[in-house]
Parts: sequence; C-alpha cells; structure tokens
Amino acid sequence: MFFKHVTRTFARQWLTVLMLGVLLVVSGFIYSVMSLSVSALKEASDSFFVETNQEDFSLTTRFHITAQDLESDLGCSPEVQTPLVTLYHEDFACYEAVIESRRNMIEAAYQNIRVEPRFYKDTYIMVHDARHRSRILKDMNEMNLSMIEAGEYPESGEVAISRLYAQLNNLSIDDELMIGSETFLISGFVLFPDYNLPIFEHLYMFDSANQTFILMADSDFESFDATEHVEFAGIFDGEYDALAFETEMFSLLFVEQVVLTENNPRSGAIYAELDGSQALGLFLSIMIAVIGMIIVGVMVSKTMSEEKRTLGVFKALGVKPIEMVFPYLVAVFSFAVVALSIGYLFGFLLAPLMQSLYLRFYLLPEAEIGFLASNALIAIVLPTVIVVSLTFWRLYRMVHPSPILLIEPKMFKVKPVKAIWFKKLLSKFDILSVLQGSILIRQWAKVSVYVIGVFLGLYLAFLSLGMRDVFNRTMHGYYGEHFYESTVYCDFSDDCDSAGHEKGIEISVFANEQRATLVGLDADSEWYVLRNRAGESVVPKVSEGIVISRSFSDLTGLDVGDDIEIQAFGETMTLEVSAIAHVYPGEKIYYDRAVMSLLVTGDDQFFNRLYTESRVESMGSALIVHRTEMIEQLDDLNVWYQIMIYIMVASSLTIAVIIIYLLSILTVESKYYELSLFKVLGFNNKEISGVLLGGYMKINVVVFVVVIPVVFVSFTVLTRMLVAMFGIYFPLSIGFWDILFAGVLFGVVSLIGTTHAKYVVKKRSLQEALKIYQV
Amino acid sequence: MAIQLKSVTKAYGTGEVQVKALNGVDLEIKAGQFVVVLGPSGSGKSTLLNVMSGLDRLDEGKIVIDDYKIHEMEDKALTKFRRNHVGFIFQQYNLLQTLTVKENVLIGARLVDDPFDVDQLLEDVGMDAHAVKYPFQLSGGEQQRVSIARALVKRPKMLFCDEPTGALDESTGKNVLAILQKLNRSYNTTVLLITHNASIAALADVVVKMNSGKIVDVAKNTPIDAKELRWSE
Repeated sequence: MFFKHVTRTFARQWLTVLMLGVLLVVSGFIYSVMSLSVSALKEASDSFFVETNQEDFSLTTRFHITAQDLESDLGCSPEVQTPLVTLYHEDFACYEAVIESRRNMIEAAYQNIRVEPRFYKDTYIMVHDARHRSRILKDMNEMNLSMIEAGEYPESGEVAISRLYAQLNNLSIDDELMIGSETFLISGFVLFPDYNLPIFEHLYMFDSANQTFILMADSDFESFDATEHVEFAGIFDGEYDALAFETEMFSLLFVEQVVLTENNPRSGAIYAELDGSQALGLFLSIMIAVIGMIIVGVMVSKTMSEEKRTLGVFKALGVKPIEMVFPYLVAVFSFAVVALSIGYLFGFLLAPLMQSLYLRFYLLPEAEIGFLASNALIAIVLPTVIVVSLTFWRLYRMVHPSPILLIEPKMFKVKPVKAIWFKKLLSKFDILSVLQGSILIRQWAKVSVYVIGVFLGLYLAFLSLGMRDVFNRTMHGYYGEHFYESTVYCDFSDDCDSAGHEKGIEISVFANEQRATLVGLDADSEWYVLRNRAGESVVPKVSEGIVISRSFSDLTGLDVGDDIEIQAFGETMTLEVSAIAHVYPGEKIYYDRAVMSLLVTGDDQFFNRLYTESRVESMGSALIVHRTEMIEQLDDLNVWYQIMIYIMVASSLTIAVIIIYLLSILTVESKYYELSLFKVLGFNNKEISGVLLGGYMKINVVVFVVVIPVVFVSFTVLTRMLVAMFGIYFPLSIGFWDILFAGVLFGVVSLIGTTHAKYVVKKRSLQEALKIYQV
Repeated sequence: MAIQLKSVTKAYGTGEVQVKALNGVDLEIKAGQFVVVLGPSGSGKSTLLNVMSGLDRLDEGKIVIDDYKIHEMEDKALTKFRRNHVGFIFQQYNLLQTLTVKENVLIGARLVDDPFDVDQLLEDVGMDAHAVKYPFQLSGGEQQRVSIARALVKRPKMLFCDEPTGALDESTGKNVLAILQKLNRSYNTTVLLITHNASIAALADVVVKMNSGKIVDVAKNTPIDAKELRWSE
C-alpha cells in the first residue's frame, strides 16, 4: 500500500520527475561517453607505446656540417656548411660517419641515454588524381618500432600505410599506390609511436585524409628517389632533468631542436590530451552531479512537505518511521539506478563514435570499448548512493516530529531573529517590500538552494558557451588572420630564395623556464598578422620588446611591461613584454627577426621561414605549407571537433535549462499559501508577482551579474590549470553575445518556469488552498 | 451593501459523482445586516460564501451586490471587487508569519487608497499593545483579532467570516464576536458569518439555515449583545 502511495505521489509530479530523470540520464551519459572512450583509447595507447618502445626525446640536427662535426675522427674531411644531402650523394661513407659521430656525441653529452637515428624521406603520393603528402619512414631497430595493425609487413615492392588515411581515401590492402614515380602494393596498415601525431614538422597538421606515413622494406627505402633526412630518437635509462638535458643538448653545435616526448604534441602529449579530456569530462560530470544533488534535495524536500500530513496520519496509526521511509528510498533508488543506467548505456553505445572522433586527430590503435567496473561505479553507483543517502536524511528528519506536528504543521515556532536586522533595514520601504524581504529571509535555506542551483545552472551554461568556439580560437582563427599564402620551411634546405617574400625565424627556446617557440618577424611585416584583444596590430611591437601569445600569457601570467627571460643561442636575454597577441595555438613569443639574425649569424639576413604573398608550389627541397589548404583541412576537422563540443554544449545547456526551470517551478509552487492568501485578500496578479516573484527576479539579476566575473576568473584559472596539469591548452572564453544569449535564455526559462507554476496554482480553488495551507 | 441571490447553483464533480453544493439558492441581505448562516457539514455554507465573495464561480443563477453583477464578472474585476469591498476572516486566521501584528494589518491597508488608521484599529480590537509581536507569539483569540483588523482596515462594505470562532474557546470567541458586532454597528458593515455554532445566531439580524445545498429557513431576529451570548457547541 505504501509503495502504491509513493508511486502515485511521484506520478502526480511527473514533469518534475521526468526532468530529474533527464538530468540523471545526461549526467550518466556525459561521464560515461567521455570516460569510456578515452579510457579504452588510453589503455590501448599505453600498450602500443610500450610495445613499440616509444622514444623519450627526439633531436633535430643541422642539415649541414658544423665545426663540431669535424672535431671527431670521421675518416673524411668535408668542409663546414657542406649540406648533408650533398655528402649523402657524393660520399655516403662520410655521411654515415657524420651521423654515427653525432650519435656518439649526443650519447656522451648526457648520462644514461640511448640514441638511434630515424631516417625518413618526404614525398608525394597520387590518390584518385589528388596529390597528398607522405613521409616514408625507415624502420628502426631499437625504438619507435612500427606496428602492423592489419595485413602484412611490407616486402620489396610493397608498402604499409596509415589505416585512417586508407579509410578516408577508399584504399584497401592489395590496392596499388603511386608513390613519387613508383608504384607499390599496399600490404598492410601501420602505426608508428613517434610520428603518430601530426607530421611534417607542423604541430597543427592533423589532417589524416591528405597525408600519411609509409613503411617500406629497407632496400626500397634506400633506393627510393627522394632526399633522405635524419633525426635522432632517444631513450632515457633512468631519471632526467629536462632543463639540464636540453642545456647539454644545445651545447652541441649541430643540435637545432630538442623535443621531449612528454610535452610534444607529436607524440607524448597524447597522454596529456587524453588525461585532459578525461579531466574535463570528469569536471563536467562532477559539476552536473553536484547540481543534480541539489535538485534532488529540493524535490525530495518539496515532495515530502506535501506529504507531511499523510506521513503524520501514518505515524498516528502506528507505522514506524523506517516503514514510511523505506518505500520512498526504494522508489528513489530504482529511479536513480534506471536513469543513470540509461545514461551509462547511451554513453556506452556512443563511446565508439566519440573514440572515432579522437582517432580523426590522433593516429593511435583502435580500442575495443568494454564494461569498466570503475567507470560504472562512478557513473551509476556513486551518484545513486549519494541520492539515496540524501533522500534518507531528508525523510528521516521529516518524519521525526510528533504526528500532531506532521498533521498540523506550524510554519515555524522560533522568532525569526535573522529577519530582524533585515527588516530594520527595510523599515523605510513599502510594506510589500518588507514582506518580500521577510519571505526570502524566513526561507533562507530554500533561497540558498535556489541561489546555488541557479548559480551552478548559469555557470554550466556559460561553461558550455565558453567551450563552443574553442577550435576557432585556437587554430582556425589563427590561420584565417594572416595575409600570406604559403609558409616555406627552410630549416633543411639551402634552396630558399627570399626575394619577394617576407623572412621569418622559428626556433625552440626556454622562456621563463617554459618551452616556447620564438618567432622572428620583421616589424614592418605586412602579411603576418598579430592583433591584441582590441584588434590593433602588434607586429610593430616586436621591435620594442617581446610580443607574447595569449596562450603563453595565460600559461605564465606574464603581462605587458613584465620582464621575460629567454634562453636562446647559448645565452640568456631579459626583455620586456611589449604586447600580447590574441593568438592561441602553441606557446609563442615574437621578437624582431633582424635582432635574432644578428645573434645567430652576425648579420641581419638569417631566416628559416619564408612567408609568401601568393601560393608557391615548390622551392627546391624546402617543405611548403599552404595557409588556405590548412584552413580547408581545419574546416574539415572542425566539423568533427564541433560534434564533440556540441554534444557537451547541448548536454550542459539542457541540464542548465532543466535546473533553472525546475527551481523556478519548485520555488514558486512553495509559495502556494501566500499566493492564495493574497488573491483572496484582493491583491492583483501584478502585486502578487511583485511580492512573491519579485524577490526571486532580483536574486536572478544579482546571481547573473555575480556569475559573470566568476566565469571570467574561473575560466582563466581553469585554462591555466589544464595547461599546468595536463599540458593542454583549452582557452574557455565568452563574449558579449554569449552573455546576451545566456541572459535571454535565463530570462525565458525563468519566465516559463514561473508562468507554469502560477498556472498550476491558478488551477486550484483558492479557498481550498487556504484550508490546505492554513497555519 | 445589499446582496441578492437568485437561483444560484454550484456543483462539484461530473456525471454520477456530481454533488450540488448549492441547488437553486435565493437570498436577500440588506446593507448593514448581520447575517448568520447555520448548517451541518456539507450543507453548502462555505460554497455560498465563496460564490458570494467572488472566490468561486457559480454554475447558474445570479448574484448582485449593489450594482455589481458578480455572476458576470471576470477574474480581474472580481479581484478588484474583493479588494475594494470585501473583508475575510477565517477560522485559522491566515496571518503572514513573517510579519508583525501591525505589518499584517498594514498589508490590508496597502490595498486601498483610504484605509482606516492602523493604530486606531489595533486599539479598537485590543491589540495595540501587541503591535510589534509576531503571530506565533499570540494566542488564537489574539490572532483572530489581528485577522479582523486586517479585514476591516480597508473599510470593507461586506465582511465574510468563515467559522471565525471555530478554533477559539468560549471566552475568546465571545470577545471576537463582540468586536465583530461593534464594528458592524459602528461602520454599518454587512457581515455574513458561517458557523456550526447555533448559539451565535442570537447575534444576527437574519439567520439563514442551510441543508443539502438549499436554504431551508430564513428568519429575522432581534440581536442580543455579544456579552449576553449563551455559548454552546
């Protein structure tokens, strides 16, 4: 009988229960979809990196002979500045001796490291009349081993390519592939642990549809007609100090770039990325769960308030408190388990889709998504325990008083001391304002719940709006700004002709003990665009000091006027930050190219980048990246990325809307007594709304105004935390239109909520209301 | 205000479970009369009060109060009518617990342009010494006096009282009735009082008896002074 009563009680409040169910479903869904997809991927990636013995660091060395090379006994005497590629063709034994000598010097420069050269050749492949980039990698012996995902290891005349590239270009095993001018048979699909992320030296070349790495037999690699390049991969056999290691490496004249796997997006940062995604998902889920708890608390409290009389009757009849509480607990338990399980199930079903979105970005092995006990525990069991415990606590307190008090509840017995100071404050106001304030103060607990709930709901809405445009801010917007069309990478080429183009320099440095890219620009650059938040160009500021990117500023806390310490070219420079560029991708700092050039070569002509106004197809052996192609690729990627973001945004907004709506309804309905009494006395609707809802409207306005600065501050803190803890840059940000949108949404939802509540009240007889709520 | 009811019908529920709370009620009350409505539970007393005051709608018939055709008025107009002309006193007082005695009365005063002086009215009902107290600090009789003051402060031409002494003991009940009688006589306020307590009928100018949704008797009466009332339940 009790169960029947409880079921009917909840059935009467079907809308509230339904919305609460949606809240729990979405909560379970968000957590499980994020967690399951990333956990499985992370687990598979962990095994992959261990099995293939992934490098701990990689070194890019100069592509020409340096004086330090000649200090070793090479068995040959090439001249300083001789390009390695020339040596490769004219004296291969000497070329091999240089590589071996560099390897020995690197191993000698820091304790307990092992180093192995990674040979590769860049070329083009033709697929369905399209020309795509490719990098042919020679398999290594000790580290960065290849992993065949499907098919066979390539024999002579065969190649293995990226599975994702094959999928996106309708290629299958046994298909023919034109690489350069030669035709190969695809024997299988391969993954590498070092170049599994963007290739071609560019951190943001994520596009797996237009580029692939290739594994071929050693003999085919040697004979393939393309320039061979070499980098050095290495492994630490023990603890290491990153700064000390990099300092030692840069003491070698031929070392141009040092990249640690752990903080490089090319490889190790995948850990951080996955961790970051997991953390973000967890953060959102916890936030949603907390909000869910508040709503559950409000609903249980409200439901029970209406049940007091019934419970009093039961109690008077001799029913034990636990007998009354038990059916409610069973109902809440069942409801929570079912709703959270549905959310978990949705998450489980959609996790492969989420994983495939990740795999559009990262070339990692596919992972089978299975049931994870720890995941289910967090997604279902933990929230259920909290919901049931909270319900038990509320119920037990509620059924504790004597039956008489339950049947004839008093509004309160204690003098509202807390109200006195407030009422003195209001004493000069109209009596309705006094009443409005008094009601709020008397119901301070409910008001607090309302304030916290609305605050969290609004925060969640802003959080989702803040995530909405992250991709554009970080990448797309960055490339869209510039006026140059092509970037020519001249690091490994002596064929770059700067005539008619703008020069640039890009090198890796330490700035305030943070790894950063130092970009040298000419102060009068017309095509390279950097703007501050106000939209003004800050390129000329490179001649006045250091311009830093917004991301670097967020990371270090540096602002205009602060000093920055840069370790580059074997010395430490202290410079003043002259401007902050509204640029997000990477930790970038910008300086005057000519000054940098003087430090490198003693004159002002040095460059390793060229920015061209119009498209340049080739420039010797230099690598060229086209901005418009990059934007097209990013647009393509953006679609997938946006799907992920919009899932989060839609879920968060749904939750926020439900919370605010439920709170509006529950809060207004709790004023049923006052509403009815005022109507009977002859107050009109406007006055009643003013007294009973006006206070909440004011609270809404205050909460909205307060939440905005909190959002701004917390976004900065969150962004820095994500960078510091997980190494990912996720610049949450909102603008005027976001605030306006949230404001309108908030207003409309509150209005709908209160209108609905008033409608419910209006439906009942006023006289009956007075009798039900008589004091 | 004079009140005229013609063939007033009000039913609750539908079909076989329909109950006629008022079944063709005719009644005339002259301005300034003190009317007591008696009847057992379910006889239609409260429904009569509800439809006369505009709290509830009638199904058929007419209710005319002075020039106001209650049966034709929209919600907005009914609200205005209650605001300007009607005072309510309930069995359970229905005071706002967050407000003091004086503030509760001020809430009533807020409704009209020309209310009575609140302090004077509190003195009239004997509550001036308790003006800053909260309702929970008062006895039932004291709370009912505050309720009366709140109802009267806006100078209503009609006062509807639903079991105003139902929760009070004899002594307190008599005091409350004495106040009502005094105010009825002093301000010529039409009073319509619903009660189970037949002895209260002695205070009325007109006694209306109801049963099963119908008026079974309307009798004129010479009222006695409230202090002389012989209390019986």
